[in-house]
Amino acid sequence: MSIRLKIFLFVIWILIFLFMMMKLKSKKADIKYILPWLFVDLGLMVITVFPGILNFFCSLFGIETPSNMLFFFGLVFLAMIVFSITLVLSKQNSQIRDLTQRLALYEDKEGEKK
Amino acid sequence: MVEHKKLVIIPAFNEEESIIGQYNEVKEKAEGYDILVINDCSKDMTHRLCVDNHVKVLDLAVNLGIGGAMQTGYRYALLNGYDVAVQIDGDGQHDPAYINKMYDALVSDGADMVIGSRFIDKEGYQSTFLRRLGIGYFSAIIRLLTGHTVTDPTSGLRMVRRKLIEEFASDYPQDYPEPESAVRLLQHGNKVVEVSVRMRRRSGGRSSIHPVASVYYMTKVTIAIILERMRK
Repeated sequence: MSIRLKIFLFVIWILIFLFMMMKLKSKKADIKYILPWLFVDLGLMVITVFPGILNFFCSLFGIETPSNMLFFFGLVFLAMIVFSITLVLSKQNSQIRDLTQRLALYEDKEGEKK
Repeated sequence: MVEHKKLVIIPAFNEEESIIGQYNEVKEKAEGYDILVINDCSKDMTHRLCVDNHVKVLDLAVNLGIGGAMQTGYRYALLNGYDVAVQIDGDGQHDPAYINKMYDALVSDGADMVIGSRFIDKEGYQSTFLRRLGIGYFSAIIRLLTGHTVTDPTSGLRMVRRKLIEEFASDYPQDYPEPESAVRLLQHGNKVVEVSVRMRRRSGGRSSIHPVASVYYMTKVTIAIILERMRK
């Protein structure tokens, strides 16, 4: 990997990192849900600086080329994050349902008092 | 015999054309029942009409769908100490005259749930061919998995006792809940009885089941029924 490419990639990871930090600072995102993405970004930084890591894991898992391995594990990791969001979504769905029902019942009770 | 405290729950989503007619018909034909409309965040005049006509109505702040709306009714029934609750569609498909017949079956057969079925005597509006096909399919897998026959598992005309009001209040299936909840009840050893009813064509509004959604409907309910079977 040329030093030019390394710097280019590293700048991108830094910008992404700053973007996420900005979202955290302005409380647009919870640390809980940003954390996996921070790990992804950090991992990419490490790989960019030490690409040799990829070759090591390639031979460890018996995968032919580093890019294949990157795609495979990248996809698995992203799927994990998306799936965890599905779980969160389902939970929030039932929480919203419960709150909506409580509100309707509460409004009814309050209305009767008047 | 002690008089049961009984509630009719009418879920309504954009039913301005039929809701008041249905309410008046229930009031006239089902004596001794309190009536509650659950307005599932309708975008039309449903709420206004209910208030103007002094109909008891609970408003959901966001649209929950039929499952969430029905559960609200059961929670209300539980909180207010009802012994019997019956759900009936707001679109005029169900004739409230059958509520008394269903109550008789509930008491005389000792049933936990009574379902109004249009397929026992095959009278009245029998739905479209494709729907009947789907209903037949649900009926078949319910028989296969539970050994019980429910001729009209998608019927939204149902009456339950206190015991099931409690259960539904704490946990009720969400979209397309009817076949799923029937299986759940059978799994838990409840007695489910069907009485023959004639259904009518809807007098207003639109079906909650659109053709495009029917594939999702079939798949979702199939998985839900199998899951229910596995839970025991």
